Amino acid sequence: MDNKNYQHFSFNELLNAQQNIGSETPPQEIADLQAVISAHPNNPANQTANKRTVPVKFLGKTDEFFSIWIVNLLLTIVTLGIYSAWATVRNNRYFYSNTEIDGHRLAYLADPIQILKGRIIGVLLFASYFLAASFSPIAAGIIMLVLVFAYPLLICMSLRFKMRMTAYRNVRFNFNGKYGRAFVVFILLPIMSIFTLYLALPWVMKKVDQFIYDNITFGDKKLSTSLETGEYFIAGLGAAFIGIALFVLASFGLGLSFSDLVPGESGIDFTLGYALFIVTYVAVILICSSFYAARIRNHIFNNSVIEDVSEFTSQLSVSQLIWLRSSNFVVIVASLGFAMPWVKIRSARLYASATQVTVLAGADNVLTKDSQSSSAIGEEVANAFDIDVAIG
Amino acid sequence: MKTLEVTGKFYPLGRSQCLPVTVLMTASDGLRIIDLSNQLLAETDVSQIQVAEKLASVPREISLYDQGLVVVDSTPAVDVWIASNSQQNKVSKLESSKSTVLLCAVLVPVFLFAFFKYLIPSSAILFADYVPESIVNIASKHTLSALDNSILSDTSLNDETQNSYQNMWRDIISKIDVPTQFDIQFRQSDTMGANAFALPNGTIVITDELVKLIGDNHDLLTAILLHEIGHVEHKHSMRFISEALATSIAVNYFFADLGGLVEFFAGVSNTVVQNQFSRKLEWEADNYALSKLVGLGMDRESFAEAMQKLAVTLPKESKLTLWLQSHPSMQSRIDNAKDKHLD
Repeated sequence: MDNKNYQHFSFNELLNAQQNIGSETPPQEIADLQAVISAHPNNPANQTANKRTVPVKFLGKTDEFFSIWIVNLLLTIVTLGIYSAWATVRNNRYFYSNTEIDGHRLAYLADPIQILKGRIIGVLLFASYFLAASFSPIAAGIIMLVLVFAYPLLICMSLRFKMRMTAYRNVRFNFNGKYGRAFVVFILLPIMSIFTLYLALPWVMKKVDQFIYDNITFGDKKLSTSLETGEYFIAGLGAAFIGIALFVLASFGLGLSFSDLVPGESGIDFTLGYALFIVTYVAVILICSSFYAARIRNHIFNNSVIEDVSEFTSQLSVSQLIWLRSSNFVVIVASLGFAMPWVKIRSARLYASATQVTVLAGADNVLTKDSQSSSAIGEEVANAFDIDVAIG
Repeated sequence: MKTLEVTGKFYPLGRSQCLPVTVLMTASDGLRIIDLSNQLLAETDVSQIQVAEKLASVPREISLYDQGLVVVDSTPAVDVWIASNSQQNKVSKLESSKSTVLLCAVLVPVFLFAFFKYLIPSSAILFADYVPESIVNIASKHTLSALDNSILSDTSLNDETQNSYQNMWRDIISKIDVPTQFDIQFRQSDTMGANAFALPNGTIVITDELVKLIGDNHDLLTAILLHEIGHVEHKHSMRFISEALATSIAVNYFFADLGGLVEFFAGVSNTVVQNQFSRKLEWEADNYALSKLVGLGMDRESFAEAMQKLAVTLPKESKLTLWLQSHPSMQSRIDNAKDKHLD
């Protein structure tokens, strides 16, 4: 018999080998196998010893952030937008640096000059698109087509920049998604889902999330997810059902007011009906989008793992999210935007409090991985064209 | 200066490991990092460190070139040491001063108002003058052909009617003495109804529906035509385009950090801002038409009458919808035309 070196096998392969031990296996080999299994870092027995579940703490304060926000906003206005690059960095840093997991804070590492360069290119491209589109509908059509092909590229560059600028324990995250796959999930599949009357859309959303999260790395470790198509269908169809049901209920309840939308009615009723319609519309969208967002966030977090480093738990309830978003909306409107810092701080606090991280044995042993620096151009062009992909 | 001794966390370069350490900050030597068993982990000169800007009470992140990162609490003594040993900007001083914050809270709305109300419109006028004529021509042609392919169809007016209007207008345009070559065309459109619009190169389109509504009174149709000429002479299309562009870029960057629902709000305010501007342009064109009418020896009342007839074809207006409309209310335009002192 060969002298097998078990170190090269994964933990599951070792367990398989143990199951398949036959009577002809030499006792020495069985003992070796046992020893390797019991010492293996993926052995649950070893993991529970080094495994601890910790909360995500958000330490930002409203008054502190209000000062930062308002000063930077003023500087942005008086510099006609140029300072916005510095303002973005300060605002982001405040949220990253006040997020603490297991005694270590996140870091936001973007350089304002880098963002400014990207922003200038983004604004120039957007301005040329806007002018071309205003001057000639034909040019607008051509540019739209170009944008369709550029869209997946911009998303990849943007995610890459966001991840590269995020660090934890002085190790950067990264995003390795490639254009081809991005084109499939962001353009091809959504177009194809039209032919299923959007019934396949939840499955497409799952593919999108899978593409985003499975391509994230932390140093030399990969994030991997095991997302369930079923959960996306429950969240997607549930949201659609809630939306339709609420609209039907609302139109019965407010039936009289909606009928005032018919032209020819008196002006005052028209205004009231219009206002009621907008409020109902916002409320319904808010409720069903919160249902989807909370469920999917929980699902993604609960099924993601950075190998040997961490697992995640999210217990964001739908009602919490509906309350957060609706009260935020009302307060922003009532304060004419001045409550923005309060809204951002309390949102960060809620998301953090709903999240837990289980730190695994290998958390200290993640190695940084050299990769060419990423530019802010993709991110900023994407921003200028209002293309945004949020990461939980 | 005395050596400052603080506890901190040291992250050696290249891995996610973190060590609890004592950090010694001296004025002359720079920075020494010592672990709990008194072992020297890193030592560096102040020229080899880079410190993230001070930001509220966030711990200070000091990068040691080629050695790693050390994080220490932001105490006054630490902040003083960092400020005296590395380049730091002054923004955090502004942010920590109560009176500055209060001043900013007052100035932000004032400046935003001034920015959208005065700066953008006046730069739009400047921009409109620099748009080359060839681009204006291409833009007008493309727009008209796009409209012809969608909501406009050929006129059903016979040649004789068309010619009589054309002759009359040629006469009027020669009298008001404008540099632009005008090209007046007729179209039928169910979507637009009784309407007229001007393209920036001097093409003016009048719908059959408008001719049917007020065509029997030549003075009324002339009043409308003069309004459209006003748009062209004041380069309103170019001004509107540049204003819309500047507004959407400004909204994107001044309110860049607003998320989700607030973005919807910014969208609404974008429309409100643009409609404000659009209404201002309508007033300019109205007043241009009114002064030219008087110059031609016609009555301002013709304009009011034309508006009155148009108003009948439109739905009733209310205060809320006014915010969401690109044109001033018909009643205020009629009042303006009737008010002879307002010139």
